[in-house]
Amino acid sequence: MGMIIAVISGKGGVGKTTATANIGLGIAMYGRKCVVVDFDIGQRNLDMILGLENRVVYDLVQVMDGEASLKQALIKSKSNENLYFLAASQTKDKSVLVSSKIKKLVDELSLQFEYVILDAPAGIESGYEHTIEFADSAIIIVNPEVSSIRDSDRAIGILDSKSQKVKDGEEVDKYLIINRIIPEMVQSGDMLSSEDILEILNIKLLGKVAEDKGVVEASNQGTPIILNPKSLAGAAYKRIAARLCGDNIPIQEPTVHNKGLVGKLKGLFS
Amino acid sequence: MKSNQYSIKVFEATIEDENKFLAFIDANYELFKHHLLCLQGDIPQRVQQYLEKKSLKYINNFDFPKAKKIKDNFIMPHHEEQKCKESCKVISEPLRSGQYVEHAGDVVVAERINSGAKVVAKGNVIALNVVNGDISSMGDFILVGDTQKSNILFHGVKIDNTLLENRLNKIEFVDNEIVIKAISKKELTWV
Repeated sequence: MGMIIAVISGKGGVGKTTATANIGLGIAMYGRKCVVVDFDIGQRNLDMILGLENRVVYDLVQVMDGEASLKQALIKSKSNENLYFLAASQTKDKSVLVSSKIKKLVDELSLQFEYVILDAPAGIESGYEHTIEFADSAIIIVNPEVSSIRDSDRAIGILDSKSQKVKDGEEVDKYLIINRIIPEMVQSGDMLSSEDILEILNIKLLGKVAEDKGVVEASNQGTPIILNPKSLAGAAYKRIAARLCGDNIPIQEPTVHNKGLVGKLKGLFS
Repeated sequence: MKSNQYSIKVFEATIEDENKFLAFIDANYELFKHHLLCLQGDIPQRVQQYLEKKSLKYINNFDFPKAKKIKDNFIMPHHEEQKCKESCKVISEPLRSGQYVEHAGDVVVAERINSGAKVVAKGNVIALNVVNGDISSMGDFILVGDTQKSNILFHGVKIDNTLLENRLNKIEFVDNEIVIKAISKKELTWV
């Protein structure tokens, strides 16, 4: 049985879908069979970020309703043969999700794949609750800002009370990714430090990803940033994927790059 | 002439607090059934209605010719003690945003109360870790650290966060006024 991981955040726009795409691809590049599922019914984005927009024929709602087989709906990634993708329905809304059908789909996926990654919708509504319902573990994406942290705190609270695993008396493993860190701002005290965030959320740290302008471009082109060997964010996602596959890699702190003479001088005196 | 001579028991009182008086009479009703009540001063209408309903005999503003004072074994009603019989609730998990804890007794929170979480207690609240959420207590005191982001209500009164010092603070009533005092670390050993 494969591991079912829900990627959640509470707040929208923190990089949940980008993280899902990159972690999925990272695990596939590591050599493990992985499927990424877009659970954001009615607002699908993952297909675009993976560059598979024009390949979507059937979606997960059709699979759940028996209108298409899982084999028909699974799309193989063009960048790695270990990665598959299952699209969300764009024309329906969250109300089509039913627990029993989700359980069946997720169970079927976990028989075929070592890692099943579910991209949750933003917010804490029914769509979110259904995404976390049958998850073994959750990756929580936060940005170093108070609103993101409060919303993810709320999402964790719901995870700890409404997931099936918790109802069965077990615990859902929770891993934190701090995304879009600007090291300069952390250094000057204008941005929450990772320590502060970890103290508030009180869960295990999976990785830190620095703000990277290349991410937007990568998303627009449908080639996840992890494929760019020069990108710092890409390297961070590579390490995160390896940690999920069991490697013991220490957390790397995003560092300040002093560019030019002024920066170097500032560095000397700070 | 036909006559009878009685020796009756009289309970003499002046009504200061209507509620307290009624509670007292109510608690000792069995005893007062056989007493004559002598009430000095004005009798409020509610008391009058109550006495008539219970058919208790009473007279108003009356001087007795020759009387000696005795003390009866009256029960004083103890409403204060009945207030908080609920057990103490201990929370050892962090309270996350959106979580709501309501309890009829005391609440001890050993972990963080995060922004957006809420604790409402009829009794005392003791928060031992960082508080960024809301606390409401109707008890005798609140114990809380230095929490500039919290929202603390003591008996419905909002506590000014700037008055909290960087140590454990005790918020309590002293002579009907809310007093906040810092507790030194030494006194904390009992926790």
